Amino acid sequence: MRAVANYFRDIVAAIYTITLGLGVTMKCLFSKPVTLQYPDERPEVPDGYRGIHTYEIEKCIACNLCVQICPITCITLAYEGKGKNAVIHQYDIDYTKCLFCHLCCEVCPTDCVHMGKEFDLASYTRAECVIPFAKAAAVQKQE
Amino acid sequence: MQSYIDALIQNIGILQQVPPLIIYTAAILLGCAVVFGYISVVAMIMIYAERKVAGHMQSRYGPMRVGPHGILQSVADSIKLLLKEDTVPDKAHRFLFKLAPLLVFAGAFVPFAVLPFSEHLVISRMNIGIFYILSLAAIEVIGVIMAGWASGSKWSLYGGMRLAAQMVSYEIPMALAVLTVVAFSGHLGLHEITHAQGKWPWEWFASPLKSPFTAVGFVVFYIAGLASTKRLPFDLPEAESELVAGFHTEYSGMRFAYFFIGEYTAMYVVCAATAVLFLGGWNGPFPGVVNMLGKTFFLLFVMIWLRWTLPRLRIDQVIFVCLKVLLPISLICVIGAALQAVLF
Amino acid sequence: MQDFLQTEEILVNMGPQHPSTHGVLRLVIRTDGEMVRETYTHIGYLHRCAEKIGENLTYKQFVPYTDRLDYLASINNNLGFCLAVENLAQIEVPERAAYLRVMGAEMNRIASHLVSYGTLGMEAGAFTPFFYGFREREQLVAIIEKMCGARLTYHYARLGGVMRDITPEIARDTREFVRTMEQRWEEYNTLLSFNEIFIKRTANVGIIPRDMAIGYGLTGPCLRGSGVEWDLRKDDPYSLYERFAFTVPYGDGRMGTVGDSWDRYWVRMVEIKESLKIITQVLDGLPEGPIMGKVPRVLKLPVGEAYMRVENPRGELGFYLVSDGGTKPYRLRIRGPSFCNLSIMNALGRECLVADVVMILGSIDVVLGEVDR
Repeated sequence: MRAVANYFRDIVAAIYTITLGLGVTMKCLFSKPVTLQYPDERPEVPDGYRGIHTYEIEKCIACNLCVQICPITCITLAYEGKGKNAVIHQYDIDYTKCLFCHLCCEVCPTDCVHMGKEFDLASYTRAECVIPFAKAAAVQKQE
Repeated sequence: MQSYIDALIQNIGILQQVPPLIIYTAAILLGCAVVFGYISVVAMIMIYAERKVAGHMQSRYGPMRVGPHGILQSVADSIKLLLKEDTVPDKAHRFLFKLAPLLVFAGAFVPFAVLPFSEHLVISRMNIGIFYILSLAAIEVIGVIMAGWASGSKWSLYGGMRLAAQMVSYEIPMALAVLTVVAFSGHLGLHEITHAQGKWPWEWFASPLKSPFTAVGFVVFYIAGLASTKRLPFDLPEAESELVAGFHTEYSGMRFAYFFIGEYTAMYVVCAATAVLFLGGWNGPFPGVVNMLGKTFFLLFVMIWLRWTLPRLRIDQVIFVCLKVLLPISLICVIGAALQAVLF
Repeated sequence: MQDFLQTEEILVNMGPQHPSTHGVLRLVIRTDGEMVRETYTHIGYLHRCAEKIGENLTYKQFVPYTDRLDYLASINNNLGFCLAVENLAQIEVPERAAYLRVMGAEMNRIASHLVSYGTLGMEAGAFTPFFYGFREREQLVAIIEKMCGARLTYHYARLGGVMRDITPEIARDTREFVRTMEQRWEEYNTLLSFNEIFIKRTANVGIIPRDMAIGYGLTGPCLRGSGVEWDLRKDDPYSLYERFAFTVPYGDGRMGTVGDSWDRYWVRMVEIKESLKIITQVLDGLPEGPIMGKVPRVLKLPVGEAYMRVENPRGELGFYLVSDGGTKPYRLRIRGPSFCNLSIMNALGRECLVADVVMILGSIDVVLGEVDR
């Protein structure tokens, strides 16, 4: 007897719960989608986002702390001299390795390296993923 | 259809010089081409509609890139499928592997011979129309088992076997549900069944006012239709999370497109048959074709709606629903409908 | 006749590339038709030597690596490792930082359970719950993104405190999220939890009896689903968890037997609600003060060992540290909940249907990044 009651209870429950579920999806069909049309619409990136770094070469004192703290040694720094007179030849970050952990920015005594809002990293070759910040700064200065 | 051709021959002088056999063959081929074109267009529209409805039901947009609001997405997809490399796996049985998609497609294609679009717009007024549709749907089963076995992949084999079990069992309640209608119309032809129903919803077989038994039969037929077209909650043959893609895992390019179009065509056929049998076919307040297409597309929308809401059943539950729920209900309906038809 | 009708058992590979194995898990199942006779789990496809890396990095440097263990619950992982180091180094954590850690960990717990909700629905064949789960997760991730600037590998809990303080804007967003999430929770249940088909798929499937759950060392929702009331947040409180009022849900066999897949699923759903309560309490009672304790620039731990365990969304995550007095750990051992929970898969995946194996795996809810480490 109980099995028979369960049998009918299941059928009624199935119809009832399926109807409720259909209501949920129908409600959503007429509400506004939440997704963005990505390349056309860009998401709003908040302040303090941990994206690709920005580097201020004139502030850098070549203290090497960021290179030391980096867990994966993806920063290459080449320089002459020390302190404020240091001449920086190379400051490369290899984004195929970078963890985006923000440790390099926190350790910097002069706040010369920050993490920016750029997150688009697609490139055709591996070499393009290594961004030479010092060179970019030099080119900017020349212009 | 033959009467139209005969009238055409009589009215146009030149055609009388040509042997009738050639004209008939040409007419058949032309009909096939028209139906094929219609199927392709309908399948494309349905695929687009499905993706769009699914998108909005899930708080996203669906296709948006190709054309305004992505309306050309299906065209782009079909071009992609046509141009794709057609691979045959090493372990596959080559002949059967290539034959299977054609069989599946053919099984979905042939019912169009009897499906009416309106009172006069029909290829053949066969007097056993619904029987013809039900029996030809069985060809698809052979095609799918063939695809599953010939692929030489274990997951494909599972998909094929599941579908065989599922479709063979669901044909029984489906046929019984049809019998409830036949008890009232007294005829197996789709025209006669449609004529047995009136213009307004309460005169259709789906309405409990006309007969409670056909109303239940409508639900049974539709559920069985879902199962035979492998739609959720009965999409076990291609259960994505279990069997990867079921019987068409190994297919690519045009052969995959055959399965794809075949599936959507089968959906269309089931919905059109439901509309004719239970929803009064072309009867209704609008011109015949509009009524018929409106009902068919409404049923198709419900199929899509169900798919994007429900989880999938397990194989033993699928068979349980068929043999222990739908079958007794449809048997009761057949007996009830027969009694009602005789007594009232 | 007997010889003629013989059937054969097939050995099928499920994974490493399979839609329902949550990553790169490989299951080998021996099937007789639709029945699964035996299941073997093969792991190791995502092995990255996390423990060995830990032994070659300073304590500060290893924190971002813990993000990548259970990548759906990074803050919880950060918290576990930081607590272990702080225990051994006797670093004081300010109260505000501890509160913020709790808030971050609970947010991450919700995010993780939402993914679990979606994927279990997906494995049952329902696609829409997946998108609904991710819709709310996106809202949550946007808040955490404002808190720490990252969207998946948060690196929020640091040695001695947390990375950043929260702003009033974040507090407002969080309160709004708590409100929407409570409404959506009901919607989720209508759509999936109480759907009859879903109940039939999960109830009485993959039953883990109480003793078996304890015997296999299960933790987290898998253990609580079997009716064992064990939650480290209550039973061994860390990071000021004892100050917050919340209840620990456990399986009661409402839809079938105690310890079935539905119970495990339901424990997760209720935990989402409890976490929302904790977040509200954190926001209400957030004390003023610094967010970072005193951590020496070059951190050298005293000789000794420490074991710290935290309640991850998936169970007990333990970090065992042995220090030889240097800047790097002598030995680091990670006890991952997913790894221990997955060990029961071989025992559960027998004499059931193929579809059940998928549901059981989904209800155990493993993250392969942590299984293989």
